[in-house]
Amino acid sequence: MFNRIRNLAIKELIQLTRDVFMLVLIIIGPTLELVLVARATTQGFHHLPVVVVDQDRSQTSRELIAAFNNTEEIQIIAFLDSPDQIDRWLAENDAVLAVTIPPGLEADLATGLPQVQLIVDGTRSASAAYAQGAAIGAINAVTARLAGLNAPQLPTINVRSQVRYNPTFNISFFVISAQLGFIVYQVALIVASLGLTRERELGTLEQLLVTPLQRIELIIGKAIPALLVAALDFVIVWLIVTQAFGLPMRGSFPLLFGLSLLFIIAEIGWGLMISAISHTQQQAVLFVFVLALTDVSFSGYTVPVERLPQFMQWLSQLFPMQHYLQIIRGVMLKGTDLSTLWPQALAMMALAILSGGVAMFALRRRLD
Amino acid sequence: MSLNRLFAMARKEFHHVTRDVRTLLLVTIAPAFLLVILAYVFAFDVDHFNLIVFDQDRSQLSRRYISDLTGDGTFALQAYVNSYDEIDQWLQIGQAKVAIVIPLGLAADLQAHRPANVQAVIDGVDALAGGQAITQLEARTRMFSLNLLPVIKGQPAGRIEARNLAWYNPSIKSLNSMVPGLVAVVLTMPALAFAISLTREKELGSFEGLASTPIRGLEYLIGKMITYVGFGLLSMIPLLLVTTFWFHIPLRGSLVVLVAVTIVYYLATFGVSMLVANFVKSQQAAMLFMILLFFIPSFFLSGLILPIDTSSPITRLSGEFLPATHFIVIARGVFLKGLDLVEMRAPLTTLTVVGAAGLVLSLVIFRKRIS
Repeated sequence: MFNRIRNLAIKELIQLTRDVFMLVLIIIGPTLELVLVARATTQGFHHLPVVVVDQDRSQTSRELIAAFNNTEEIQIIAFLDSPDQIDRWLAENDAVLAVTIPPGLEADLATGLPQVQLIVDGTRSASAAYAQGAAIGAINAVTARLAGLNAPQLPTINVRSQVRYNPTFNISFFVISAQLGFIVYQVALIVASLGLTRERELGTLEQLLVTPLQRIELIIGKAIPALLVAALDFVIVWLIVTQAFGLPMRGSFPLLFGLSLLFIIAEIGWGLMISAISHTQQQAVLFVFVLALTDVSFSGYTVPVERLPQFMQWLSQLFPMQHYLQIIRGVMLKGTDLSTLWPQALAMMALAILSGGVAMFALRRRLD
Repeated sequence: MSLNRLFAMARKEFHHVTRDVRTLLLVTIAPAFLLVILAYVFAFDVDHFNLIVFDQDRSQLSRRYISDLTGDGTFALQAYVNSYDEIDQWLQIGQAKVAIVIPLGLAADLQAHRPANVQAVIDGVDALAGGQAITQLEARTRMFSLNLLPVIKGQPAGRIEARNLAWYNPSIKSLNSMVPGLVAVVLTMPALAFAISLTREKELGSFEGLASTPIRGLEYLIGKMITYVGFGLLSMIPLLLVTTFWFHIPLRGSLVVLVAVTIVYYLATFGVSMLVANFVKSQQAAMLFMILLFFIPSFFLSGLILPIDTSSPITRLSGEFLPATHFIVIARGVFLKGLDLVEMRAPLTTLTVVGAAGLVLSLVIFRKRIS
């Protein structure tokens, strides 16, 4: 039995590597994706364009303008004469935020609550929220200074913040650790979902079925190459992530590797299920696309899981990705071990057995 | 070029897609289905942080401070803890993102007109959320302090307020801003199907069969393209029904303009598919390439999820080449701002140029390859 599985796995590996382009893709593709996405998304925003309508032209308004330009996030690119001009700048994406300083701002300070108006382009959600936050921060800084002038010794509460695990708020820790998970995920799913579908489409599945190979051996033999390729990609990407992108590795590598293998097996199970319901590789590809987007949505990467409603939080538990990202971050960034991560490890094991089992069952029925 | 042969090719491809109901559903309904899932998840992206409190002061003031912080649900109080060790545990398992330590003597300090400190311990792994949490915490604490002042000192302090408005989309983080962007993501599906369909003929060997017929290379490609643009437009129907009647996203621009720019977008993404199909031998390789180096970068470089640093030259360059980046700007323009073609000329021109360049380049390579 092991002989036959081994032979089939070897045949599969030869087939994978016969296409030079495929081989290059398996090794270089993940690296390229990592560099491309990591480079773009780890730097944050710099100098988002802002326009200002200063109707006050006072010392305070100049102080506000200087405070805006002092931030890293926003940069004033133009001064407008009237609020009517704002629409054009926002509509054509030339500015993301428009600040209107009303006449009488300085005069109102002593008596009331003067307001500065911030108008953002609500369609550019990420940068709009960022620019708005930076502008509010600048306004608060000016306010704090003015308040300091009015009452030199204020008994206020100060917040002293201490940031754990990632003290400099380096966003690349978050983004890149997730990319490690996504890349392993994509490779495992794609290779596993197309293996059997390909044989069926090419008509070679019938030939395999008349050999002494048993159904279960066929399935395992098809799963092994996916496991090897995904594990290889895990090691490559992990090396790049720790060596080139400087992510810390605070926990144990064997633990991370072992749990990664469980994750890969769970995803191969999903891949084999797709190959059980697809007639052509085109269908399999489109199924993978649908599954991958759903997985990324529930992974806690785009939206933290605890922000989802209870029903969706339960649903997200069914997707291995969510647990895997917690494992990667726990082991690499927080240095946790099984004593803390056992719920995720158990969930991963259960999901691997579940999806592997369902896939075996579905495929055996289809192959008969 | 013969229109007859071209349509014969389109008809053949049409049969291939419609023969199996699974393929048909995947190319027509799946984009709308994905949009619903993605939009629902993104809709819950409101600031919300799990909070634990280590209150050493246990005064009336400290309780007021906590209820002030947690009043609107942005900080959700999970538990009161009694030691720093407990804080460590909560943060390690990720059950809390923020811990606040209120020192003994907070109320007494304030009564004696001395500034007091509270300590915040924050999980920095999710850097964006962590930064937001600190900003929120500081702003709320400052407001709480300022409100205390009249009580203690009996004198108001001068301060400037920010009044926030978001145009085109009143609440920044709502579905409205995400959905037009997500449309660009799910509409890459036809390009995926097209790339696989081209590679399929190669892998199955049916391409040789076609090559021996009078059909020419260009007719073959255009015939296939017509089919997939057609199904792509068909998939727009459920998609628009979902955005309009389910999510209530306004379509402020004209439908004709939307259809026109979508066709341009499809053709631009098909250029990428054709380029890939020229180089790979198997559908598996085509898929790996399309997902690893086209689709996922489009998803992340689109600026939908994370801030994109436009100052880095590599990002700029790769962003310019990806059709999705331009289509997101266009889709938001049509849906939310009601722009017409002239007002969108900048992103539209870039999209057209990128698309045309890809198509021409892949045609040249394709010709060389078959001759």
